[in-house]
Amino acid sequence: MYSERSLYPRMAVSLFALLGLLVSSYLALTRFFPSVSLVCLVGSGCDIVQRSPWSTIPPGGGIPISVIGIVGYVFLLGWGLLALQTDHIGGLALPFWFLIITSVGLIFSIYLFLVQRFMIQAFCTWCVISGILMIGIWIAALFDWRAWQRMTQHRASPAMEATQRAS
Amino acid sequence: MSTQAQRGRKVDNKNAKTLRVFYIVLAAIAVVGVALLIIYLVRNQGAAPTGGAATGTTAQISPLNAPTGMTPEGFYYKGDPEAPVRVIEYSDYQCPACAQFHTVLAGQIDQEYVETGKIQFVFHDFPLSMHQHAVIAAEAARAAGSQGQFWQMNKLLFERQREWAGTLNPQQLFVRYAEELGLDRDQFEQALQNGTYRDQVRAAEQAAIQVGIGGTPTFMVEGRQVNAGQLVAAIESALAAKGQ
Repeated sequence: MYSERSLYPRMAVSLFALLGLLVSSYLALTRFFPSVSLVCLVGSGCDIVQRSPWSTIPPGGGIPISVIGIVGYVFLLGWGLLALQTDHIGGLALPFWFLIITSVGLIFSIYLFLVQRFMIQAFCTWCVISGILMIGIWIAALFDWRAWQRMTQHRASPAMEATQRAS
Repeated sequence: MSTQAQRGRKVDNKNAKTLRVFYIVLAAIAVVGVALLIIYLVRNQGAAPTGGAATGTTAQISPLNAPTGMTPEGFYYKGDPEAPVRVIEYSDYQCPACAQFHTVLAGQIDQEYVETGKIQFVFHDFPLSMHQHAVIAAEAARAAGSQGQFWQMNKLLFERQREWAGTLNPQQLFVRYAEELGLDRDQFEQALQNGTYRDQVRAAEQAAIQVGIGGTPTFMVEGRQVNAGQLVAAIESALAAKGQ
């Protein structure tokens, strides 16, 4: 018995990627058009993360991470929307490759978390939100990949399904 | 087989409907998000400085005719020490709001109040712990001050804040600024490397904390704490109180 796998993980991917895109766009805007606050409050994280040398790749004057975020989330959003329509492009199985690519994104987010924790020793709320969204995307990609795997296995061999059920 | 096909079609129909709703929700979120970003941008542009010396591309410093020097407490000042009103600025070279003040409002304050002998303007270092390069920048200004160019370096550091604040090691840039101002490069570099003025900067930081300064820039006008937006009015009322 075959049923389509759930759309929800792929919807979650698109939704999180869109939110991530908005967050990184905001971060890029605050970088290129800094807000004109009247005062830097003692002890506030203010824009310490965004103004730190680690806010670029490579650190100390490269591409702003917010810009990398925009590019990455645009890509993830496009992929998420595409994945809602099809599972394959040519010979490429989208769910599998999506898991690989989101894993790269996840590793990048972990790097950013560690930099905030140990190098800058401050957190920026929107950067943390972006990291959480990336974790969400990765989990959704993992769920979707597993559902896809189960689905293709079922299609390939009904006998295997029977043994799986029995075990 | 036919029932399964039918079921499949039902699933497809249901999915298509779910997807349609989802796309609408997604589009709505995108529209709201973009609108919020545009609002941020417009608001910010409205508040952004218009004109002024915010370009920060040249080291041309308008010469200050008012007397300059150091207070007995060890802070650089400009303006007549005997002026009726004393203004102390608690400031952090890496704080964007402080740079904002120095590139937009400070020139006007200089012209109207410092050069005219109405106020003595004192610069009190207050490097905030969240700004990694604030202490070394304050040291750089003091190192320039030891060669008689505190206010020139002070202005340059604020004008070029965006240039040095994002680098891993701003010292090299500071040395370049010192050369631009015609300072003795070796002497300047030595002062930074040896941390000659670090204790002074740290002491200033402690003093600011003890006074209870909550942020930068904060201005003390005759014992009253005000922010940059309230500064001119505070100076005016202090002058008025002194019968000026």
